Amino acid sequence: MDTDFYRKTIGGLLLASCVLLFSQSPVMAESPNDLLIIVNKKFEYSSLTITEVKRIFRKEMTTYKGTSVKPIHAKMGSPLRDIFVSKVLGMNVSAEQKYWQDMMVKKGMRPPSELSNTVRGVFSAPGAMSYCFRRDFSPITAKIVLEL
Amino acid sequence: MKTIELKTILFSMLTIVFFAVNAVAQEAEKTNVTDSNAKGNNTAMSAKTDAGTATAANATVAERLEALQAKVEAQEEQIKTLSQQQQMAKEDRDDLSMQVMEANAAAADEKFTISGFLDLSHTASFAKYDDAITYYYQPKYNSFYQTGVNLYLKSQMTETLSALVETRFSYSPNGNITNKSQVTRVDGVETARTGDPDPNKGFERTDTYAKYQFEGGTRLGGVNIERAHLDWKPRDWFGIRAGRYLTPFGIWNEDHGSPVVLTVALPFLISWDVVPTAQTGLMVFGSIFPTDLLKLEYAVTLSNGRGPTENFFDTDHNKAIGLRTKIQVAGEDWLISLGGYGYYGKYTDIETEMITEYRIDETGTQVLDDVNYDLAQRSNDVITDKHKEYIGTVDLKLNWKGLTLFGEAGARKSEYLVRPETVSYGTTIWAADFITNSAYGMLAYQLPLEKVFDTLTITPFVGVDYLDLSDANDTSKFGIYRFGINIKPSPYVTLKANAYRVDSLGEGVDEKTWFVKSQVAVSF
Repeated sequence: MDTDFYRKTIGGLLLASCVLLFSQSPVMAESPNDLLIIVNKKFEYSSLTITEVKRIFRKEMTTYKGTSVKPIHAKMGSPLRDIFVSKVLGMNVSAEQKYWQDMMVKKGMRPPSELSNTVRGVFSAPGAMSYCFRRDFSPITAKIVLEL
Repeated sequence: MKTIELKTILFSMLTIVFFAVNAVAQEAEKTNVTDSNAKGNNTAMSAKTDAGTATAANATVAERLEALQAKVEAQEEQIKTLSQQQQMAKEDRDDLSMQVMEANAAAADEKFTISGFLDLSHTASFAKYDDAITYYYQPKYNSFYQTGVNLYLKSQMTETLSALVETRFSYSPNGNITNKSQVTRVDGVETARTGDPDPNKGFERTDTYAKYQFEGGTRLGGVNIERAHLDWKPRDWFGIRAGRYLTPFGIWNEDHGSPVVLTVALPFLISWDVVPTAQTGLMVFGSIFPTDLLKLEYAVTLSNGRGPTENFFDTDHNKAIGLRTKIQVAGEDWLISLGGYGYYGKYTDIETEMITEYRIDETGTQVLDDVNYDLAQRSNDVITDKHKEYIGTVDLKLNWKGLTLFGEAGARKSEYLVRPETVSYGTTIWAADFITNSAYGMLAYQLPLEKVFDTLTITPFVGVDYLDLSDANDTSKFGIYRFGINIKPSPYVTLKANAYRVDSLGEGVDEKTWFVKSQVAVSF
């Protein structure tokens, strides 16, 4: 009788919490399509802000707290690049191209180098920073500094 | 964002407790049933015990065999897995080799680059008077024109060391007007005829036509080194630049390339060199990022300053110094930027000559005079022009979504230490100290077309521009009102169409001249 009582009570609470939980905001679960900002495992810092990542990929910032940082882009036209440019740089790919053409004229600067496998690129280059989908990430090869 | 919220924890805990209670309840029910069955089974189990002992030995062998077989199967499975892993490792190794090749290619691509830009423009003018004074300073005739091709060579030798060379291949000096006549009339009678900038010469234009040996010929062009410098930048907040560099002032001077700047014609502040656009020497520079919103920039310049040969050689001991500071606050879709640059230097023009001192000795022979002079033969610099330059500029940029308001203002005070002479009709005129002022402001709006056109941007703009060439001369004041449109059909191509009215604001020259200019600029 006691057991039945507890089952009903906790079941009721569970139901109520379900209503509370799902009625107000969705649960932000990890998804294989999450965008991860990753760095070489030797990079000594564990988190960056989106503005810092943006500055690094625009080559405004070439060192982070004294540590040299080298941004690596995914290939132009890849879905990964499109999502990164939209979420982090706040522009579309065409606007990014325009940005780099302008920077070339102003300062002779070129965009970061591109690799088809950004995780491997980060793995093999000390100071490298790039991005990948969660489904492609392996903790053996890189370190996450920002999740989007 | 993957933050675990409190209610998520609550939900999880309740779930665990719910299943735990369920499990306890089911176990309790099972226990009740098992207890009642156990009482009935005790008698039957004691009768079977003897028979079980007899077959125990056989059963143990069979069990061992079964265990052995299971072990073999597990090992086979393990071998299969290892074999698969080996195959994957091999594929990974091949893939890695490809990646390394790709990474090397990318690194080489970034290490040395060649790029550049060029443009073609068209100008047409519409003045009330065909002989308007505006045409002394601005082009009169409907014309296509091309100022040149800029080529960039950039090398990133190491992470901290880089070099940049920007050269401009141009048709210059062919067609350069090196001296313009200036005629003064009183009551219709010519009283003075001088030249600008050389008062002793009349009109002069450079012609670089070179005739071939037998027939035909060609007009030679020139190469201008816009900037050529080495950068060592170990930190974002500290870098050293050595060579010829663009003066770090304002907005337009460093943007400078036709594919980037908004209009066809440069603002007066730039086109009249109120500030030296480039300097030769050293620069220390850097950026600091105190917060996510804030960016601070600085640059200290030390150079030859301005002079007739300043891009490769100085004509005085004085070095020009300058300080640039800039503060920028930026959010997701807005930006405020405020900067300033101060400069002090001396302009010196000299004519170097050799003096040799002789004397007549006791035998009546002319010999070097090393008796009355420490140096019987020496060099002497005759200074023909020397003046101090005090320059200050400010620049402001406000950006909100596609709307941008920006402007610059600058002033230069020229204070003579040795005044250049002008002799005209027997009268010597000495240059006076003067102040040059210039400012411009522009308002531009990039139309929100991203959702309609992927690559196209269209930016209409309006602006004003002001120049007072010299406060010692009332006739050299100008104002410009401009409007136009800047279109980028692709990141590499810029199309511009501008109209602007130049107003001569000096006394006695009340003129308003309209110009229409268009341009296609390409960066590559």
